[in-house]
Amino acid sequence: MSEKNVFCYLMVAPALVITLILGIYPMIRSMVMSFRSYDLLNQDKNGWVGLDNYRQVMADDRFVQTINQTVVFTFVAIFFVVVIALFLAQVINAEFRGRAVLRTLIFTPWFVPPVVASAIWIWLLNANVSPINHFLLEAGVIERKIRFLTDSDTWGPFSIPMMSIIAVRVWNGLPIAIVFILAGLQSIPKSLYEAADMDGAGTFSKFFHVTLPLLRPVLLVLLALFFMNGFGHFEMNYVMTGGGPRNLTNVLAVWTYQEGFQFLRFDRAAAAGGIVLMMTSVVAVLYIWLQAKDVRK
Amino acid sequence: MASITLDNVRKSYGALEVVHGLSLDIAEGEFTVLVGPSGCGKSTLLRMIAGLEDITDGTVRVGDTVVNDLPPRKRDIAMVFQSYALYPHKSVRKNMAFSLEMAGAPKTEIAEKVARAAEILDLTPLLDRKPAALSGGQRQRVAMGRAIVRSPKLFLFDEPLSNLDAKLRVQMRAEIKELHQRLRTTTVYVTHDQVEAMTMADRIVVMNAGNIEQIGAPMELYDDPQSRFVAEFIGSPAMNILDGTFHPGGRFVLPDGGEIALGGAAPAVDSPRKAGLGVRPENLSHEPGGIVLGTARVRVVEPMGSETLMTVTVGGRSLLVLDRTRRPVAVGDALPVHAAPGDLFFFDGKTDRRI
Repeated sequence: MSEKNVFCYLMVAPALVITLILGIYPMIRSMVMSFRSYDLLNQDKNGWVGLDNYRQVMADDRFVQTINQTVVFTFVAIFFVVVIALFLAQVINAEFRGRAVLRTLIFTPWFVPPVVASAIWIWLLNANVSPINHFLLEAGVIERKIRFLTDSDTWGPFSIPMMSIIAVRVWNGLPIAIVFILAGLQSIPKSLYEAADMDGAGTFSKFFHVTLPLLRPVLLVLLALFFMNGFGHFEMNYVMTGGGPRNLTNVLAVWTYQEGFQFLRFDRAAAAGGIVLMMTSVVAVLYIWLQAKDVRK
Repeated sequence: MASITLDNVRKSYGALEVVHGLSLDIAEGEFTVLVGPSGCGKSTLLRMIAGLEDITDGTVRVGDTVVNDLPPRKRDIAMVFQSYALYPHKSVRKNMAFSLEMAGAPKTEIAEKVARAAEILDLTPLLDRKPAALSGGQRQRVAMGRAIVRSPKLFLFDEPLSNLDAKLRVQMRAEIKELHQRLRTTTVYVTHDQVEAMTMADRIVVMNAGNIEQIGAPMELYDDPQSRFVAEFIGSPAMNILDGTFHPGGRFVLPDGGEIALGGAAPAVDSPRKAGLGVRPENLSHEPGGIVLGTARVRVVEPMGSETLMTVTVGGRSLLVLDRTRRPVAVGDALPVHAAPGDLFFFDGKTDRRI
């Protein structure tokens, strides 16, 4: 090994060691755990059980509901984040007076940690003190207060608490999406838009024929990141509703946490973790496959 | 096909005016080249014709229509960009078809027109490739294909050959000229390369600092430059210009005190007048005859095959001599330099206009 190679490995080593200790080892440990019985309240029975834990969690209606909700939360939040970010990135990419102020405003949610943001929104969405309710009532838009985080009516998989948390997740996720898309937009040569102008393209044609296809690599990375984060999302759902009411806002990460640390069923929690891992793996494989396809082209 | 009429066209960015009231008529089918150094306003003018830049003042007409307020897509103009600006995610076929798709042309017509343009430009085998898989010259041809496919009223070229290597540039120059001869579409071509201007244009517009210096056919500009700028810009290698002062009696006095006896070839003056004396490198000779400019010391010899370019010093000033006699010359040789009286140009020392 040449001296340069040794130096390179040395430089990478700390990150690699940290990833191994804090990422890979716990993952393998919990995967192993998911195939064993590991009940802290009943330690006599601990041993290999094969796929029993997976069968058990999949037979639990609450868990299946949680998987569905995790998928709905993730897809809907990502859809709105990407659509709104595409629009806002175009707006702040344009040159106009007050752009700096608007940029700062749009990026503000980024500086608020998710737990703090959740705490703020709990107050903003509290049925009794919510300024949103107050405003809507005053304006005559609604007749009674909306119970943003506690209403248990459902429409298919959707409920008001779910929508509320999705809205907060969108609000919190927007800045990073905008930064990605803005960087992507700024890397598109202006001459392509001019060529499209000369070719007779209007605003929408330019968006669909120039902007969107050229943002594809950026959007792929963004979607992969958001899906993986989304399937494992914890803070907002846990802090704002703890998965309630009636499990309507529960997601896999929160379910896993509750199963492990409230009911002390680490084996079932590990199995749920295994399912999250499978879901994120699908996204990762899809992403790598799409990227490889682009390279092949 | 259409004519273009620019009437007192101005362009300002804030308080800075970069194009100062230009007027120009371009006839139907004409190949006009806008040439000038970087920052002279030639690209800005082209982009104003295209509709990519607002026109601060004056009018631009395409045919009989004033297009000042029309967006580019309503002007029926095609443009080839310096960077080619091909859509990287679309195949050559899709790149060429895009403008027709935007115009809502039927699919069969699009296929037919793309096939025809591809044939003209020798692009048929490349139709399904993406721009990244093409060479510079091929990309250039695709950009041209995209322009010709919809038979626009005007073609605009913005320095289209500057990203190509020298050999390819010569080849593409010929191809563009041939294409124009075939289609006869009114063309405005911007370049900073006077060789491109000379070889391609029906008419050249020489621009300098946002103004038109001179308009004319290539040989007209070469033979009869109206200003020192045009004289120095057109022709390669560039014209030699010696600064000095005309004195009564046909004497031209150089700053170092040296004198050139011009006799009757010099403009008549009553009192000394600052001026530039120009002569093209190919018109300088060391054969006896004509006016003697002085004795030159050869500093650099650059044989180019059919001709030899020499850098010589006369009276402390560097001159270029283009010699086609194949007489052996070595660095350090002292040679007399002559020029025929008819090959001399005189420029006013203050206005730089031709005397």
